[in-house]
Amino acid sequence: MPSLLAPLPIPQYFDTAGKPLAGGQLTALGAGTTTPSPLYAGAPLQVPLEDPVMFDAAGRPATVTGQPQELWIDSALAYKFQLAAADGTLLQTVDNVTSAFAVPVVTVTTTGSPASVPVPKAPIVTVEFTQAGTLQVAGFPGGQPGQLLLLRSRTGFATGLLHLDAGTAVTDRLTNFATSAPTYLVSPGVALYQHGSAGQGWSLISHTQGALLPWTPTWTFGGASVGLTYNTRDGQVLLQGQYATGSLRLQLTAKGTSTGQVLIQGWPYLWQQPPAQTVHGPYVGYGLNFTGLPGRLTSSYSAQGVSPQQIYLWAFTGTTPVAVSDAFCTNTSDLIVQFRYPVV
Amino acid sequence: MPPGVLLPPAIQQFFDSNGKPLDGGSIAWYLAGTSTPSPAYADSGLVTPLANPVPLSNPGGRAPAMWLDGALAYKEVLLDGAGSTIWTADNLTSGQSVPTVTVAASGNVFNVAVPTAPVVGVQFTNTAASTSVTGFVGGQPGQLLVLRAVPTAQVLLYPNNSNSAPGDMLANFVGTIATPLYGGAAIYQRGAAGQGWNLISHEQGAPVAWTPTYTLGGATPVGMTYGTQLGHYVLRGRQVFLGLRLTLSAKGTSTGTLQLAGLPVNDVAPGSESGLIAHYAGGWVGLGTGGITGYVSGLVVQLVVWTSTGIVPMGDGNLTAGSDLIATVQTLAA
Repeated sequence: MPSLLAPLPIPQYFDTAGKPLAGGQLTALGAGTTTPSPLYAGAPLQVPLEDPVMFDAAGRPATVTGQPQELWIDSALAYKFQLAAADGTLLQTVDNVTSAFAVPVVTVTTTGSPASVPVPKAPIVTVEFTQAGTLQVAGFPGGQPGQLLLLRSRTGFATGLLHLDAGTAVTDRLTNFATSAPTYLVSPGVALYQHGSAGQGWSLISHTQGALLPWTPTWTFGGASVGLTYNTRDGQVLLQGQYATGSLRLQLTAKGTSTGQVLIQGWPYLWQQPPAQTVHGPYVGYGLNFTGLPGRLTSSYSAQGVSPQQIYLWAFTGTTPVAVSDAFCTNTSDLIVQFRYPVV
Repeated sequence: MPPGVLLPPAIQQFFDSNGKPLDGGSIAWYLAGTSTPSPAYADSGLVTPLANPVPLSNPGGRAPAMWLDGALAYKEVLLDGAGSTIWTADNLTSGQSVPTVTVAASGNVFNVAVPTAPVVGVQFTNTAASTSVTGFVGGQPGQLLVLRAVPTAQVLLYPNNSNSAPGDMLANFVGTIATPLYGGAAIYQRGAAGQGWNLISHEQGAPVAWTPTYTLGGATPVGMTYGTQLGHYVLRGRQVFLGLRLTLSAKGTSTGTLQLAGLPVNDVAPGSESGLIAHYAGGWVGLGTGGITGYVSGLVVQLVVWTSTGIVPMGDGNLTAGSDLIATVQTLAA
């Protein structure tokens, strides 16, 4: 069973001479404000107490019938308390009082890169991203060992979470599932990080990206694309754990003058294929306006470490695939590819 | 409405043995169980440390607001005006910390002891080999357990395993294979008394290797050898995504229908929801231009080719000594 110190359900207050603060009063305000924020008579927080709370002759908070009164606060709020004598003389002020159950929320409205977002110490802290532009976060200073950091995006602008940013203190850095590119959040995306022990930073525990993110695929022939133009050039990607899932569509308006096999480049995240071509090939879901193809279109990944990384386009012939080159393409060739690969 | 809590002791006043305010007294703060001073702070952001000991008001014996680091355990000592100790309270914590247990051992660890707290972290740091865990001992109903494997750590979380007591066992999304953490993370929650730990969230991390093979006529092919024989899979919920490459160096002498075997998990609905897509196929014969597909049946994939009338099972007649296949398989784990 968890242990905790016994709480003090009914406090008693004294003056500077040690006598009970008879007729004294306690005022509850919102933290840092002069706005009343009521105390309550019980845990359900259904009965707000009179403001200020008055003490009986023994210096205890009391009901109107003279019974000792429990004092309860809203665990989600921060308070300022003012202790005063019976004549209203202010004896002590304490500000920013919270309960151990509060989950502080930090709201981020700034844009730019790389950003550092300080967080308070608490078992669980929420950071909400509401910025009106893209943001790259390099670290969260201020956490404590074991602390959970719940990130929520409430904006359609991407928030990039940088992996082990070298310009950030080690204890503030992020360790992500994907290391070759940032992990992104777009509304309604969420992520959960946990702070490691002393000397460690934040480790990603769970991540749901939210909306798909765009990327820009490039159609090349043998790695070049002289004179090649597009009618449609669209890519979408979703990162799930260590897997990137998504699709691309490339529709030409001119195939240009470059020659060689069709190689699609510009991929988000490096893929891991230990060794070459073993994991989760891309799938050609649509192909139109090619010419002379000896079979249906298929594709395969380049080996891990090939730079730039790319997929090869093939025609399945029943025996050995034939490389789809410029000779099989037209000025209106149209291609849709779906993919799913483990990322570095 | 969030839960209500009793008013914290934000305003504190101290008295001597005669009930008089402890004018001139002070409070000293140390790390729990030590004589190492560890200051209280004047602000909730823990920016400005107070003098240590903290002087009480004179007159009045009132303490200023004293903020402590929620991640630490403290020893508090009340001193009178002469510096003599009135009382000592040790091992004071705020309940605001998340204790973390580190597991560095590899092999069959089976049961990991965890402390009681609302949230506990378990960090796996093994590097030499995989660590097998079947349960977590300790904890309390409703407790959250956040598991993290450092990027090099491989952890296998076995469900409903008899190496743990029923009240400490793991209830995973998939009950037939271990849920892996290969640099990944997971969250479990302890059930009510007598129940074990229920998986809430899981990210596997890196893919796990498996070894694909061919069978002919339902048996291991005689004389068949592989140039490349690689497979990896990832578990997401109850879905299993597998990738493979099989390249033959000799097809051998066996005959019969051709199946892909060695799947690491049994399919929950054979043939109905799970299939194979070939992304690359070279060195095959008799396939036409329809290409290779397949459907999952238990622990094997029946390989088929498409013809103008439908699918036809593949067999030894489609193989050559250089048959090469890159494919993916998606199944729903039993």
